[in-house]
Order: sequence, then structure tokens, then C-alpha cells
Amino acid sequence: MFIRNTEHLLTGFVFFIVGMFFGMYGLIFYETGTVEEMGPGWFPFFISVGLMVLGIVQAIRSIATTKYGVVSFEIARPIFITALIIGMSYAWPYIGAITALGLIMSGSGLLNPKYELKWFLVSWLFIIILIIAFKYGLGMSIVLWN
Amino acid sequence: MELVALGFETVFSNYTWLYCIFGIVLGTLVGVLPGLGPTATISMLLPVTYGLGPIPSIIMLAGIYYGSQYGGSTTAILLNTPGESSAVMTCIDGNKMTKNGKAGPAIFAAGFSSFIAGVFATILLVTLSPMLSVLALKFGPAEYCALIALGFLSVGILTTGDIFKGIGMCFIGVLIGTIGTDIQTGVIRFAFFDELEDGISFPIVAIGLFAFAEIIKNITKDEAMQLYKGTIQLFPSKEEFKRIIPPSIRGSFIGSFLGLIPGGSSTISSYAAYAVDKKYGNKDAEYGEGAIEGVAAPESANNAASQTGFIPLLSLGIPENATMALMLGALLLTGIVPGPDIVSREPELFWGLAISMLFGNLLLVILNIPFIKIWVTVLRIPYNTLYPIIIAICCIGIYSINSNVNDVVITAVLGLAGYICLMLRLEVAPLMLGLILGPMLEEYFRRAMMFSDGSLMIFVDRPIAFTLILCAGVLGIYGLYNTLRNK
Repeated sequence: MFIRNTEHLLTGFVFFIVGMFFGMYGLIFYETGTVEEMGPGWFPFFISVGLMVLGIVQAIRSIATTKYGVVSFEIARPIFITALIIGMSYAWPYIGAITALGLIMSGSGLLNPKYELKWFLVSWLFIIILIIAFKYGLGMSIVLWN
Repeated sequence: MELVALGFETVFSNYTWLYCIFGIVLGTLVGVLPGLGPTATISMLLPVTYGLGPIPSIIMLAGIYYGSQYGGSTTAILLNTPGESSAVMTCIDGNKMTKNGKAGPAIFAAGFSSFIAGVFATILLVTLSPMLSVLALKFGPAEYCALIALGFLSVGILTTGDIFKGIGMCFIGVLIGTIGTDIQTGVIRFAFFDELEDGISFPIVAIGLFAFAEIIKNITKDEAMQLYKGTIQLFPSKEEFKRIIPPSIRGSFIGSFLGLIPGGSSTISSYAAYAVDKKYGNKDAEYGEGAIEGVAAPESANNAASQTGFIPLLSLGIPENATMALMLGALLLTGIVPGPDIVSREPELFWGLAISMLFGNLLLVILNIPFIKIWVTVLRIPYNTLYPIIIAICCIGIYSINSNVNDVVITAVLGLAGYICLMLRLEVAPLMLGLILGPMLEEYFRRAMMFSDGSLMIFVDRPIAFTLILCAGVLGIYGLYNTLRNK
């Protein structure tokens, strides 16, 4: 018995984990009730069970299939860009939107060696104008600069 | 006639027509730019719909959608790079025509056939949707439940081609939809921090799973566009013009029909139209070698499908693809609940949208044909220059919803999750559908069970509900067979 299709296996894993998380959490913290009078936990619980079953089916398919499949994806750049956005979002109230967005843009631009400084400056200027328009035109509550 | 007049009045008052123009220009632009599709663009613009109101919002978003179908053909023809998945078939003959020095006639064929299809589909929209309103009074909780189940199955199967993955993603969407306050009992569910007490806002999920995920995917590809440098001859000969019309009509029929079926997206329509035209069309045409029919058929089909897709969306609340799911979200955000009675309940929205489509299609011909060189110039901007600015615009858009940075954080995390889904070939469209329709399904299912004292026989006893369940069953068996055959 060996894994022929990692795509099916990983999909099954995702389904099972998500289903188990919602199912267990719902079962512990919310009343399920009866089918006539459903409690807040009834519907999410049964959907979770369905998702877990699908997860198991996917895992079985990864072994039973005749179609070989390998999943490959890059981790470094997606993690970097996500962490950059999260970090700058938390810094946003302290350093202001202009600096935070400038850092997001320059940081994400670094991921591509062909990204040029002049493009960054033009883009940043455009974004500054856009934020000012949002703040003064649409009345958005936003800290521009700190 | 009064209703048509109402449509004109709606479009040409309060500057609504300006939103239509903005939508189609932006749509054409994103259609031309590979990597930035209508789904990502509409998700970015969802926060704007809060302030615009339902009619200008939906007219603008619809303009982006069908505008992108036109724009997507330009890069397909000139650069063999489809701006949209629905333009893939246009590449085959369109790019061959470019190489044969006939880029102009190819672009004209794409624009003109799309125009024919647009007009045809708009007429169909106006004719068919009111007919569905007679069903409105016969719909109770059981029928709505069955309809939603059918929607889940059809979108789950037809968008992914794998029933297990499609339904699984639907279920994940439904579970995300349960986050927040349960309307029936008032209990707050799965709210792990304060911001989630009202549920996850739809634009946040949409921007995360579509726009951010797409950006992350494109960043990891390291691709750059090249500019087309050939000479563009604009108009076709008389002979070529005559050859455009029959495949356009055939494509319009096929696209209009497939657009009505939830999941029968414009991409499938363009494949089907090309295949049918190749088999039954002009026998002298050399398909695959630069036949003008090979451009007209798929282009008319994808445009017709993108417009008739509004019929199930508005009348039944079933989106035919991810973009339509976002459109459904935009409708709900602005307080419009789709349903069979939408024509009588929201006549201004319905007739305004129909007339805006006619107006928009005419404008698209004007835009796409004479200004084609301008669109080609857009291709000078490489994607690696664009994405930082798109990220920044997304961040501003998300922040503007609640003025809360935590929303941006949630979106970034969802973006990473969306990227993983893309890599695992898990379509996000069924998830979005689950998220949108999940709360409705729970509500209607609860009501149906209350009425029937917990008996599932309510789905058998009521004829419409039974028919819909039967259709779902047949579709389920088909999906299962298809999935297992491909393993």
C-alpha cells in the first residue's frame, strides 16, 4: 500500500482536519437539539461529518487511484508576502497607512528582481493619492502618517 | 414597453450609465491583462458597492464581467495568451490569423460576434426571467433547500470536474458561513475573536481567496508579457464579414443555452461552440489554421453565456461560476435577495441591468475595434510591476469596510489558504457558493424540518422540491461516474 496521488491525500487531509475542527468544537460548545428543533450546533455538526467523510474518501482515492499525481508548490515567497502584509497591518496604526503600504509595496516588489525603483515611486504616489481620496473624499477613518 | 422605458430611465438617470462605462472599460482592461481577471477585480471592488447602491453596483460589476470577455480575446489573438480562460479557444485560430497578417479581421470578428451574442442574450434575459417569476409563489422552504442543494452539486461538479473536491469545498464554505451569530437562536458560533461575531465579511473572503491567492500564484511564476509589434489591419473583407455571421448565431445559441445551466460557464460554452462549428460549420474553413469562423464561434458563445448567466443568478440565486458568485454576494451586500420574483420585486434593477447590457455591448464594439492599438499598449505594463500596487489597493479596500486592520490580516491568511487551494487544484468557486448560500440553506432546512415535524418526506411530497432533488440526484450520479472514470 503506497500513496499514488499526493494531491488527493493532501485534499483529504485538509477536508478531514477542517471537518474535525468544526465538528468537535461545535459538539463541545453548542447545543445540537433535535431535527425538529435544531440547536446552533446541529447544522455545522452534520456538515462537518460530511466533510470528514469526504476527507476519508479522498485519502482512500490517493491509494486506490491509477492516476499518479504529485503536488509541488513554493512556500518561501507566499509565506513572506503573507507575513509582510500581516506585519504591516499590525504596524499600520503606529506608522500610518502611507508608510505601511509603501513598505508592503516595496517588500512585495523585492520578490521580483525586475521590479524597478521608479515603478515603486510612481505606484506609491498613486497609492498616496488614493488614500487621501478615501480619507477626505469618502470620509474613511484612516491614520495617514505617524 | 413601459418596463423597457423604465430600464432606459434607470440607466440614463443619476449617472448610472457612467458606472456602466466605467465597468466595461475596466473589464476590457482586466480582460487584456493576463493574471488580473474579472473575479479578482470584482472582489476588489466589492467594498465600493456599500456606498453605491444596488443598481449602479450591479450594472458596473456586470460591465466588468462581460467587458472582460471582450478584452480577453485581444491578447488571445495578438499574443496567443488568453486574458481569460474563456478566450483559450480563440487562441487557436485567432493567433494563426495574426501570424497570417490578419490580426485586424480576427479582432473585428471577436468584437462583432460578441456584439451579436450580447444582443441575443439580452433579449433572452428579458424574455425568460419574467417567466420564472410565476414559479415564485410555489416556492417554500423545502423547494429552496432543494434548489440550493442542486446549485451546490452543479457548481461543485461542473467547475471542478471532481464531485468529491467540489462538494468538499462547498461544505467548507458552508462551515465558514456558520461563523458569527446564529439568527434563530442568537448564539455566537465559532467566533474566536471579537471581529468574527458578525461573521466573516464576504468581500474579505473574496479578496483573500481570489485576488491575493491569484497574486501569490503569479508571483511564483516569474513570467513577463511581451509586446505585440506587428501591423494591425482593422477591417475584414466583404467575404470574411459574411463568414462571421453564421458561426456567431450558432455560438450565441450554444452560449445562451449553456449560460442558463449553473456551472455551464463561458469557458465551457466557448469549447462547445468551437467543437460544434468545426463539425457542422463551414466545410471550406480550415479550423486550426486561421479560420475566421474559429474566432467568431467561441467569442460569441462566451459572451452570450456570460450574459444569460444572469438569468439563474437573478431568478434562482444560482451563480454559474466564481464571478457570478461574487455578483450574488454584491447583490446581497446591497440588500437585494435574488429569487424567482425579482422581476416584479425589483423592476428597476432588472430592466436597468438589461438595458445597460444593450448599451454596454454597443459601447464595447466602439471600444474594442477602433481602439485596439490602445489596448495593446496596456500590454507594455509587465505584471511584475503591477502586483505591488494591486496588493496595496486590496489592503485599502479591505480596510475601508470596517476601518479595522484585523480584516487585512484575515484576508492575508485567506490569501495563503487560497494559494494552497490553487496548488491542490481545489476550486474556490464552490466554497464561495457555500459561504453565500450556506446560511440560507440552514435557515430553509430548519424551517422545512419544523413544518414537517422532522420528516425528510417533505422533499418527496412536494412536487417541485422532489423534481429538484431528482435533478440533483441525477447530476450527483453523473458527477460520481465522471469522477470515478477519471479517478
